[in-house]
Amino acid sequence: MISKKIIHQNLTAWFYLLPNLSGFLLFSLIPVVFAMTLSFFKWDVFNDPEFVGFQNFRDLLGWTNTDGKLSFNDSDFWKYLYNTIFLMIGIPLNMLASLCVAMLLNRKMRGISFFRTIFYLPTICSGVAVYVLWACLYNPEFGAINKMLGMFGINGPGWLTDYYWAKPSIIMINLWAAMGGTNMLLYLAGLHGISEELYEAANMDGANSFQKFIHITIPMLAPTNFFIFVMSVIAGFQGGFDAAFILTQGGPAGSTTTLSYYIYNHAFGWFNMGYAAAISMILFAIVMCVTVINWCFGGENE
Amino acid sequence: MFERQKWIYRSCICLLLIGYICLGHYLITSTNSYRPTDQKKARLVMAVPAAQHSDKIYTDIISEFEKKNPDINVELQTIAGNYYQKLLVMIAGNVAPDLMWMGQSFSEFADRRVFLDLTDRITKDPDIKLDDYQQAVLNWYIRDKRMYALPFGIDIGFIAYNKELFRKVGIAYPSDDWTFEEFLVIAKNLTMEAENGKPKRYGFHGKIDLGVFGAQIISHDGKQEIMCNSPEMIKYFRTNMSLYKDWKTTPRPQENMMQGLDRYSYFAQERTAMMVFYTWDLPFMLARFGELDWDIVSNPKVKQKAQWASSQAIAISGNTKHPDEAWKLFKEFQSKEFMIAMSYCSFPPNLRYAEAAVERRIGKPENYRGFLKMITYLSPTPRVPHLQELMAMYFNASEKIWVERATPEEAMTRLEKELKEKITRNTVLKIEGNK
Repeated sequence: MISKKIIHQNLTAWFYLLPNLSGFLLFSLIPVVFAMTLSFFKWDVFNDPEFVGFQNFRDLLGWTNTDGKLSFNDSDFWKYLYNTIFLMIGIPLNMLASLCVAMLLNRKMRGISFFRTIFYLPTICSGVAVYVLWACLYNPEFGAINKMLGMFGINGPGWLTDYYWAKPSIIMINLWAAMGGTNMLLYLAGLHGISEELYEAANMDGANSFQKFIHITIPMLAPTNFFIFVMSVIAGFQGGFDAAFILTQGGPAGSTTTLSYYIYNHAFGWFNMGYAAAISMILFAIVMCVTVINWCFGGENE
Repeated sequence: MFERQKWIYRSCICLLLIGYICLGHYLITSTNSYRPTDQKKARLVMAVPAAQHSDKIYTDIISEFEKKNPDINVELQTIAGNYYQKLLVMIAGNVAPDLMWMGQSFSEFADRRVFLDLTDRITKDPDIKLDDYQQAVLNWYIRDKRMYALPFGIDIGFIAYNKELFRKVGIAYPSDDWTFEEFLVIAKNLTMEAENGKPKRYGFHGKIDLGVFGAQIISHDGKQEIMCNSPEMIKYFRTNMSLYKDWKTTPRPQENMMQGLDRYSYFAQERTAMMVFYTWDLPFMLARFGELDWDIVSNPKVKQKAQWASSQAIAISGNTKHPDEAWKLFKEFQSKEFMIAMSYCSFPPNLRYAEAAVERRIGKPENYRGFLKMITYLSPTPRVPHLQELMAMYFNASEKIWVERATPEEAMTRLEKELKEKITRNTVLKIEGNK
């Protein structure tokens, strides 16, 4: 027999959860289920959806064998998956930069709050404004970067228009924007959580700063590192849209098109909603697999 | 004390819920475009892409229309950026505007039966004389022999040139009947000596349009055959590559990242003597070039004369609840006043009004009359189903050539194959099915 008090407590809990839960259902769960269903349909928004079974997935992941040569049905998908993964090269760089900034800002000195605010500024700035600013800096004709290189007699490349430079240029922007952002805050919180006693004990043993960093700071920050890495990988697979949309329109020759931009193009540019949903499902599966692998290995290390 | 806090929390949650419900109700009711503000008035919603110079023209013509038709209320929605995507969302959300501006993506929507069939209204209306229109432009809005829109402006690509630089170098101004050989001599003469391996001033900026080579991505003859892998197309790529690789009269595509106002600065700062612009650039050119002495000329002839072209039109939604009122408003955009007002950024497709616009034109460009000749050899992007995706594939392939990741032959052979594969798999083009 469940007591009246427990029922009352449960009802109260649900009552408090209701606003969040309704938002989650309305804006997350229902759209996700809808997208899953849509991936088995062909739908251009204007006409009724047509059930096509696994056709979208076959078009996306399948291949054909012509004269002994395998060719993917949608070679662009694999190219854009590669681009997405390539842009994730920035993750360890971002983590390292954020850790360095966090350690610099973890000192007790006058005006430290001011510096923390300054470093956090790119995160609260509009992403569009940041990309437009960088587009100006990268402009091969009028941009500050090439002007500075010109002073040393170097002909700067077309940062965002050169096939080989476009991706590293975007990694640079992300590095600048992210090193003082949320990752830095997480590292700061992690650094605050390390007991001073450990450092005092190390001091007594005669350890230098580098040894303290390697043997105390890094191991103690392992959970933070793991959390940041997992979240960055998830964000990395979903990312790249803003830069492609604002800076390069996915070019040159598709070198900065990521999966999220490809999904957008199929859905809203070319009205292939079902196909876009199928790509989303594949992206979801990839993120899920990578996260599970991360948890398995990361959990052991932890 | 604890009891009191609990009640405060509960009251807050209740207020939050009431707030949610009110917000939801407001959102649902406010997005219903068909809800009349005044029961006696028909309410029309019209969507146009936001543009600094044309917004006022639309507003003026609509307020005049409302004065003439007090029983009709019109809401103008100016959509900034990604017009077609936003329109798609409006249609999907069942709040499609009653009238909508249409440009190059007309066929994408028309093939999906979004528009009201206007054939009978257009042919029976004594105020609309189809014989006055430039026939080729009119045909862009016909699907299966039915008319779904009427154009009010033609967008044309042209070459602008800096007259002062021509005078300095001692070269005669180009004429509308110039050839590619003449163009090349001029471009070479106007290119100024190199500085750190880069010319200080280029003779020409842009690309010579594929139409003058007789090249087509898809045939214009209605059969809609894929023609990207033709000798004409290869010549188009090879010639444009030579402009920056061999003759060095044009900046390399990698160096060329000019968007928005930068393009105008580039020309105004005399970094190039000739540059490709479009009719929609004209108001910006007038504002930005100031005292600069400039004029316009058609593309040079290679195999034939051709100008890239698109057009602007108004269509009526097939789901409108006020088709008669929408038609009344639609006709306003075919009026002489409107077409001439819009002629500062697009050329009137109605030839009588085009003549009037030319006569009324004062100031730059002096060769505005040249547009009358240019519209006789327009080379539009064919209005085919799934145009945007098709063009994205073409641009992707051509970018590979410009950044030297593939030769024209390799890129076009691959593109042709990819397009055919897409058709076979019925995921992109349903050209056959559309016939």
